[in-house]
This record gives sequence, C-alpha cells and structure tokens, in this order.
Amino acid sequence: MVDRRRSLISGLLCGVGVAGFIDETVFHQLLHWHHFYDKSTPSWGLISDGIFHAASWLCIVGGLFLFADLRRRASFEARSLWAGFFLGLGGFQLYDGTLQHKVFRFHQIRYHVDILPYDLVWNALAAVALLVGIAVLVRARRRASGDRETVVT
Amino acid sequence: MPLGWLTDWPSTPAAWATLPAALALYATGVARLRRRGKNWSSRRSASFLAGWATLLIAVCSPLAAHDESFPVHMVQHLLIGMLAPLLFALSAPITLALRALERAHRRPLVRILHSRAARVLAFPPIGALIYAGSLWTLYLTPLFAQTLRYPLLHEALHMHFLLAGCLFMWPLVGLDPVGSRSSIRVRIGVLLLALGSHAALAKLIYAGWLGGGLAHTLPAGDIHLGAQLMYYGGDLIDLALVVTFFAQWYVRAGRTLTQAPRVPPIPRSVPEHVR
Repeated sequence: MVDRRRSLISGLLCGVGVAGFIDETVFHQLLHWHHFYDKSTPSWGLISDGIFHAASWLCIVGGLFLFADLRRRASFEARSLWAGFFLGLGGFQLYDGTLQHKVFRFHQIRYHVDILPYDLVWNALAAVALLVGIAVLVRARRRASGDRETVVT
Repeated sequence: MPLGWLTDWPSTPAAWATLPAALALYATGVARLRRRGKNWSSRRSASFLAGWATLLIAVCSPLAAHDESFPVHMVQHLLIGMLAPLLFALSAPITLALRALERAHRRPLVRILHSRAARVLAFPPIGALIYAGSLWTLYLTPLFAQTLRYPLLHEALHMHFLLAGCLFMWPLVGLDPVGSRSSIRVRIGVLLLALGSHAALAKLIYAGWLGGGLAHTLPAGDIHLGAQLMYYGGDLIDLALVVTFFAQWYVRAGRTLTQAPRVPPIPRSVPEHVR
C-alpha cells in the first residue's frame, strides 16, 4: 500500500532539515558569511533562531527515520517524497530570505558588501526549488489519479 | 601550561566514594539476573559505565581544577547536565533494580514509581521546564556569579545539573517504566522547545546577557568561547538525543508491524518484567 501523504511529509522534513543544515555548515562554518551573532538581532530574534535551529535537527533526523519506516513497509512513493523535499527546501529558504533577513532584519546573508544581488540569488533559488516542488507534486497527483482510473476500468 | 593542567587533580572525595558504590550496585544486579539465567543487555551496562566516565571527566579530572573559567564550566555543564543523563537514561537502572530485587523488596520501589509525584515528574514538559528554566535562571540572573563565589553552591550546581538533566532525559528516551508515556507529538514538541531554548540561551550569553555583572567582568573571549561551546557542543549531544529518540520510535513501530493485527495492547502501566 503506497502512502503518499507520509512520503510527502518525509520529503518535507528532509528538505527543511537540509536547508537548515546547508545554512549552518556552508554559510556559518565554511564561508563565515553569517555571523554567530551580529549585534543587530534583538533577543526575541535569537530565541526564534534557536527554535528554528532545533527544528532543522528534528526535521532531518525525523524525516530520515520516517523514510526508513516507509521503505520497511514498502509504502514509499518517490515522486511525493521529492515534491516534499523541494517544497521543504524552498519554503525554508524563502522564509529565511524574506521574513528573517528582510522583514525582521535579524541577520544578513553577508556583511560589508552590496547585499542586493545576494538577496536576489538567495530568494530566486528558493522560488525555483518551490516551483520544482509544485511541478513534481502536480505530476505525482496526476499519476495517482491515473492509477485510480486504470483500476476502475 | 598543558603539563601543569595534567598534574592538577581536584580533590573530590564525594565523587570518588560514590563511583564504586554505584558500579557495585549495578554489577550486583546484573550478576543476580545472570544467576537466574536471565539476560541483561551489555549495551545498557556500557551506557552506565560511559555515564560514570563522563561524570569523572567532568568533576574529577584536571579539567575540573579550572572550572572557575567560563569555557571549562560550559564543558562541565554539557557533560554533567546533558551527556551523562542521556547515558544513564539508556542504562535502565530502575528496570535492573525491579528485575533483580526480591518480590518483597520490589514492592516499595513499585509504589514510588506509581506515586503521584513520580507521575508528575515523568510528564515530559515538567522535566523539560525544570531543566531549561533552571538554565535560564542560572545564567541570566546573578545566581551563576554567586556559584563562583561559594564553593558549596558550586557543588550544588553540579548536582542540580545532573538531576535536572535526568528529569529531562528519562521521560523522553529513558528505558525505565516511569509514569505513562505521553504521545509522540507532545514529546517532539518538548524536544523542539528544550533544544531551541538551549541554543537561544547560548546566543544570548554570547550577546552579553550573562547575569550578575559577569558580562562585563569576565574576559569577553571567555564568554564567547563558552557560549559557542554551549551552542555547538550542545548540538552534538542534542543530535545524539534526537537520533536515539527517533530510533526508539522506529523500533517500536517495527514491533507493531510483526504483531498480529487487532490484539489489544498491554497497558504500559504494567512494567515489562512483571508481566
């Protein structure tokens, strides 16, 4: 029995987790573009940051165990999983790029540079991931309804 | 002075006295089960040993001789308040006691486990609130500055780290039959808030929120290093906690797969070993 809903959720969790992980390792640890703390973030911004940080850990580990469970039950469906993955990845990055960076102005992508091109690329990549996710989801849905019709006839 | 550090052993008679007692109790329990031909997972015994090794490194090693320094204190917090409780929760000492004790001696222990107080403490949000709430109180009020002034208070703080950490870990990943397990959603929510608040507190400390004037009197480099140790070190232990948590879910979910369908589950209030 294929479980599309759980496959989608597993992908979503992994996508959010990977986005958070890339943010932490690439931009904080490797490139040092983001600061550990940049003096502009208010205390409630640090609290929201902490919760999101914890959420990305929980998402990636929980998503992978959910994936393992779906494989074990032979009920995972690749298309829904990938749709969820791109939706989670793009959704998290768009949230980070618009609300966290621009609306709340918690932190910036990089310091002492013209930030506009960075913001454009960041949010454009997020939008592309979201669009890919939506496209895959639509195809997964269409295929699912197609399957149902063949069963009926 | 790396060599000076190695020779600087703190005097901690209480910890050295408790260690053999605890190990002897645990070993006696395992030996009793063996005599009755029952198995005790060596993974649990290994967890117990590792938990004690963690505590020894935190309070009895040369590391502890310099715990007036903020980064060293933070390493102690990670070891005593997070890693050791996680390992102890996975060593199932209460289950071992229940299995090894004679019937008559078992009853008072069961009564304590079923008491209202134990049930309240075993409710995950309560333990998490005590664990996270006490950390926020400690570092954002003058309390931590006081523990640097009074050695007895400092020792009490270490004890509190251990107990609060156990109260947090046991209901989430502990193998012992304490209380009734709350739903996985509640426990994921508790994990999210507790882990998130730990990361947030580390950044607040970095941002200069350390209470009691310490933000100005301690060297800024020490505060920054300590806060980053708290954040990234906490992440590593939290990752181990989260993997353990979901791995336990995976194993439990696997058990229902192999079971025949529609069998009413055995109530969790009945401990496994008395069934």
